[in-house]
Amino acid sequence: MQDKLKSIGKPSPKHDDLVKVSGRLNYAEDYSMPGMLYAKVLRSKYPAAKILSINTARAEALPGVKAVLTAKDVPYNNTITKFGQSKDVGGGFEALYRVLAEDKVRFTGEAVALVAAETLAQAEEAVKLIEVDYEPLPGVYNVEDAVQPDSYKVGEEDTNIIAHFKSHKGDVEKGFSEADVIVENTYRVPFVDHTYLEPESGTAWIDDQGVLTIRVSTQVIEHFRGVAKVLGLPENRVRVIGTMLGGGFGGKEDITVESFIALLAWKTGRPVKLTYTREESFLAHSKRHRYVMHYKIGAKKDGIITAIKAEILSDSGAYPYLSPWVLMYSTVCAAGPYSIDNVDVDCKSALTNNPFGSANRGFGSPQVNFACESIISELAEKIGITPLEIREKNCIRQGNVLAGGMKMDRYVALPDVGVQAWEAINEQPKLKPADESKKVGRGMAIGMMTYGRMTFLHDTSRSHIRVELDGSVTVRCGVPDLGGGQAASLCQIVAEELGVPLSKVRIYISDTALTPLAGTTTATRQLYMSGNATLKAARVLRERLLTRAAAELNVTAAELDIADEKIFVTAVPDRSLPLKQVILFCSGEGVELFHEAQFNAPFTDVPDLSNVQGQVHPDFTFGAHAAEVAVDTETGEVEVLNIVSCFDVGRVLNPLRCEGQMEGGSIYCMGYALTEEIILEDGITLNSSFTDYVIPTALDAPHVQSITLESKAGLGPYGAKGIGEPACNSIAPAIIDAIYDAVGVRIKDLPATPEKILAALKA
Amino acid sequence: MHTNTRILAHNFVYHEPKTLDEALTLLDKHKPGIKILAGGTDVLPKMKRNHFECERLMYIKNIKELSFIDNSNGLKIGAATLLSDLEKSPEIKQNYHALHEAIKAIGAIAIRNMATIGGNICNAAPPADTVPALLIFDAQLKLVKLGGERTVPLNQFITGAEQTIIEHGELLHSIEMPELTGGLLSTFVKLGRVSVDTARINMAVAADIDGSSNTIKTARVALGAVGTKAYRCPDSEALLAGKKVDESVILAFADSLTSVCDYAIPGRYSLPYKREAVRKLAEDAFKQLLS
Ligand SMILES: Cc1cc2nc3c(=O)[nH]c(=O)nc-3n(C[C@H](O)[C@H](O)[C@H](O)COP(=O)(O)OP(=O)(O)OC[C@H]3O[C@@H](n4cnc5c(N)ncnc54)[C@H](O)[C@@H]3O)c2cc1C
Repeated sequence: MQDKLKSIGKPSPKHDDLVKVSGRLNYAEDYSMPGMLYAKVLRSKYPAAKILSINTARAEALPGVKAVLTAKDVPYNNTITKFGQSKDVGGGFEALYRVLAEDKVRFTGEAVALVAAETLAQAEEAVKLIEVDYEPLPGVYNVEDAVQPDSYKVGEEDTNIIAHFKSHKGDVEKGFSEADVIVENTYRVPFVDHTYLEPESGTAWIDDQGVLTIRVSTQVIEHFRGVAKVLGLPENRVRVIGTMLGGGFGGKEDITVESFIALLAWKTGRPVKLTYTREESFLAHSKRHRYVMHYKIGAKKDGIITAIKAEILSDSGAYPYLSPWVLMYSTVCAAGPYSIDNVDVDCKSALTNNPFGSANRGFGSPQVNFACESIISELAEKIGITPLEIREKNCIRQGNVLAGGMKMDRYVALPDVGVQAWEAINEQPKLKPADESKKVGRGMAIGMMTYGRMTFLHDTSRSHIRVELDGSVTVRCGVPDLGGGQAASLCQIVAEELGVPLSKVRIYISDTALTPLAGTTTATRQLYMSGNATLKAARVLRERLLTRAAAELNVTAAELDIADEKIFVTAVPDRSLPLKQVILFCSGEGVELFHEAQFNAPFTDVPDLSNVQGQVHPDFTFGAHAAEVAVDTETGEVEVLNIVSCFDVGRVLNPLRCEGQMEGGSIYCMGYALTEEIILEDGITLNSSFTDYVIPTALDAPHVQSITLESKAGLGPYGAKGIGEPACNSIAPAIIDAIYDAVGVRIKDLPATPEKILAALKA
Repeated sequence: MHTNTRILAHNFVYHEPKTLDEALTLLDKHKPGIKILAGGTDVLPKMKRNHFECERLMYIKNIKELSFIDNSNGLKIGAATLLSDLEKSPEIKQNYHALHEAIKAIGAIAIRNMATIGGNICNAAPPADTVPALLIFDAQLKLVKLGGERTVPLNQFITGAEQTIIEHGELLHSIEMPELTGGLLSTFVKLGRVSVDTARINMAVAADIDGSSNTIKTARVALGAVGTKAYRCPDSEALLAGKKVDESVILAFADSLTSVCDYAIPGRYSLPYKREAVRKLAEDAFKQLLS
């Protein structure tokens, strides 16, 4: 089939590349309205404090100030977090969403009051004039303390623990007793930021029909329902228009500015804009959770793993947001992509007075992947086999059952991806640096990461296609585009199915009023979900066009094909009709030239949380990273020399975009491995700027070799799987393993800073 | 355009003098509420974070008199000369090599196209990269004000972290370095966290090495980012003078730098790391000098 495809699989520069690089694309902050007010947020300077009183009189009296709002002004200040899922999943997963701090603040940077004023300077001035009388509370900053029964309580409940999931199989004690080698370690990973280029931004106004309209940079336009709840409005009186994102990575999955600007616009009747500064963005939005992970693993001399036990503690920070969902991913992935008979996984998440954790590319997978892959590599070394061998001996294969009880019916590209990554990195002999203090090492890790949302959320997506009379095509789909080409992929599918060039397909996205709801651009789900919805709609239209052409050409529709704007008899390509002519026939005869289709993912029930078993995710993407590093034994500095990223992506729709994800993902979590961490001191973020929060620069990015395997075994269009999040999953343990190979130091506490490496070398 | 990305929250009057006279008059008239703006690569981030407020900002990059490279007698550089212009100067690369290397180590090219050498000095950040290089060349700073001028050595100009002796109404006019005698080789080394980063440690080293005996006649060493200001290291310089270049002298040099760190930042969180890592800079510096 591959050769026949015209659009799918071909490298096509993104349809929006040119507007982006020429600076013509409008991001959320670029939009303004006549008569617009500027908003500012007053944020808590304490991580834990009682709010005794708030006096807004002086702020309100300031010229130009049009509104000052506190919790008492929010019609429904306490609602429930929802993330565009089709089904309510209730307690254990859905938790408090609070617009403005009430009674007690839970983290530094929590929104306490809102201001809207004629100018930004006035809004900033007004924020300073709001007097908040706080009574500082002790707070709890360490998740290991937070789980203790007598700990300070972050919220209103009598425990800080917000989720506790377990999964077990076999008998781990028996497994350990059979093992010849046992390794036991504690791994720690820090809170990290998404560091997108574009800080949070949006503008809200009330349109001439009285509809509260919000134009915002978001991954989830379905938050219009949440905003409606906060204001007590009918859902059809709130409209969210999503802009092209300057990066999301999960950080714009939660509501950011939407409720704030909605409340201010509603109160003042004027358009209101709010854009966070970089420093504010660091304080205000979610982080990837800090985890403490205790792992124990045992194996026979021959390398066969007999048991694995993982006790995982996630620091959810001040509010739950998506923490329980993230924890569910960790529960499923904790024992890795391995077939192990005896497994015990115990995962907890608890509130602290730290910044709140939520979605971040990988969604609970990179944390446990780092721990699991690190301990597997250490085990291999103790046994005396290579990192690849231990994975070959133990990885799951098609037909095996995962630790969490899910049977892998579909093709599993393990150990293939690992073998290819490892061979590619070892193709060249190791570099011998001129500098004797530099040692070169190589490492690898494999991983599995789901694409598509958890199946108990009953995920759905919709897409609408209309064929125009001149043969061009219009697509409407409520997909937010994060810059990953989410919209362009849908166009490619339509071009393929309807036989038109990509340039003739135009797409409208991300508008709750005008585009069918497609669900969130999260969970690596859009190609899978909206791709399938679009494919379904396109195939209905294709069938209609073929049917009409069949009548004209005196054949059956099944004998026809469509390409290059022609419908032709497959066996006799010369017998053809211009597509446009068939469209005009249809139009003239009242045949519907549009279609909206819905795609449903597999649905399951909420699993038993005390023993998570069976299907929780639709499918997984399997991948591997291999890394080559040079470690300076005198300074502890690590230079990543080469990265190989190998994934079974099912099917490549556009090689440029797919490689873009694989390269970007590798560098994204290279920072996780080496430099990135939110430094907290009793709940205060000490590095809320890019001067102090260090991410790799372009000069630090090594060559990334992307190897894509195409099993065509995915659940997405044409057998595609998802790549967005999986692409970053296993690079951190690969780099850490390479550091060990170079200098014999195993870093168990990310990031692997020069200080830690040097201290370990000197120890 | 209506925009919320108002980087600078407060209002100020903006001046763009074309001549030095005009600038000095403005400085005198509006002191102390007037702030000098050169490339803005330090000023703007600080204003954005409300580190200071000022009533007036005076842009000096239009003043031709402040932008020049004169190597007729030693080296004189106008304070508002762009780092990227200095980087391109063959004379600096040849004779004041440590300065050339220090400039290349600053930011990325976009920063060097904006930033000036005077800004790097006057901002007086402990890790400022040009400072150790200028220290080993015994740089003198010419400060001018309406109706007056003075020349002060760089090591007296910077008094601490972001502290200098410059007075209101004064402007850094130029940097002067005496002509180099003998065959002084020099270099600059820097340790950052990522490729484009402020220094965790930086160091400039110059040595006059007698080729035939392979002996160091004199040496100059300056260390930055270890303590609140960069400084010359007289003990290390003395230790090197008269020694043959071999492994043992480099080791002794490294030891002396470790002691400098121990003395400069006792008890600091960064000490255990810096006292070790500085040893690598010692080695690298010599490797580069000899290459
Ligand atoms: C992304 C980034 C990376 C950076 N990387 C580095 C780095 O690697 N190494 C490094 O050392 N620095 C670095 N910097 C800091 C900065 O770029 C340099 O210090 C630069 O040389 C400052 O010059 P400027 O012309 O931009 O100064 P400005 O910001 O315009 O001014 C800095 C200060 O000097 C004063 N000033 C300027 N000129 C004069 C004058 N003629 N007389 C009196 N006062 C004056 C100003 O009032 C202000 O206080 C970086 C900055 C950024 C934003």
